[in-house]
Amino acid sequence: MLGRQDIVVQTHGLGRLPALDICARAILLCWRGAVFQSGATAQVYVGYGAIPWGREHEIFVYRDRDALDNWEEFEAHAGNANTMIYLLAYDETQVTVVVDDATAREMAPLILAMQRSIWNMSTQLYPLEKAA
Amino acid sequence: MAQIYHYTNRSSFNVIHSQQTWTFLASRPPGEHPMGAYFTNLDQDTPLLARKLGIPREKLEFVLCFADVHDLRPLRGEPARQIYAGPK
Repeated sequence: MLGRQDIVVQTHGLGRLPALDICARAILLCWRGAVFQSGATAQVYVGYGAIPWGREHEIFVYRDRDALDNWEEFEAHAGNANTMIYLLAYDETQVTVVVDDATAREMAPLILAMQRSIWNMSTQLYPLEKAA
Repeated sequence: MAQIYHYTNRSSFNVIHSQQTWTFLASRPPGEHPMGAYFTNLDQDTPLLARKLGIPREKLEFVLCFADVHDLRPLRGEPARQIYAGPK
């Protein structure tokens, strides 16, 4: 009754909702045509600007519109593997990133981009020398 | 009392209820999750339920419902997905 992999990404002091926003932006750098969907209501947001940030704690991110349509019709199957990322932000210290295969060629750079983006933002806001 | 659910397909349901005392056989799910039987507190009305659980649609064909006595452990210590493995 369970599939996919859970990757825990630390928020490094940014908090869960800013970190969720940063993860979405990082994905957009790789998936330019990404489509978002609310985990709470299933409402589809076309474009980053349509997402009501601050209200969403769970976001599905699809590679593109075709990927969304495929998931809507078939749900999880081998043919749409690694075309959707499920982001959950319920803990101030971490974002959970759910993927089919974190080591897949198309997925590993996305996960790295999210981790790096959060780290880079946190070090800009909280420089290491001040933290020391 | 809170409830907890196990979703499955017909063939697995037939295995579960073929025993006089219903038995859940631990299996290894896809991904890196450990072997176990998995449960969730997400009910059937949850939007995008199959996607949240990461399962094919046919795995929602049957649902077994239990009282939650808190003897299950959250998935990898991460309660966000509301998925639990049992027993402890």
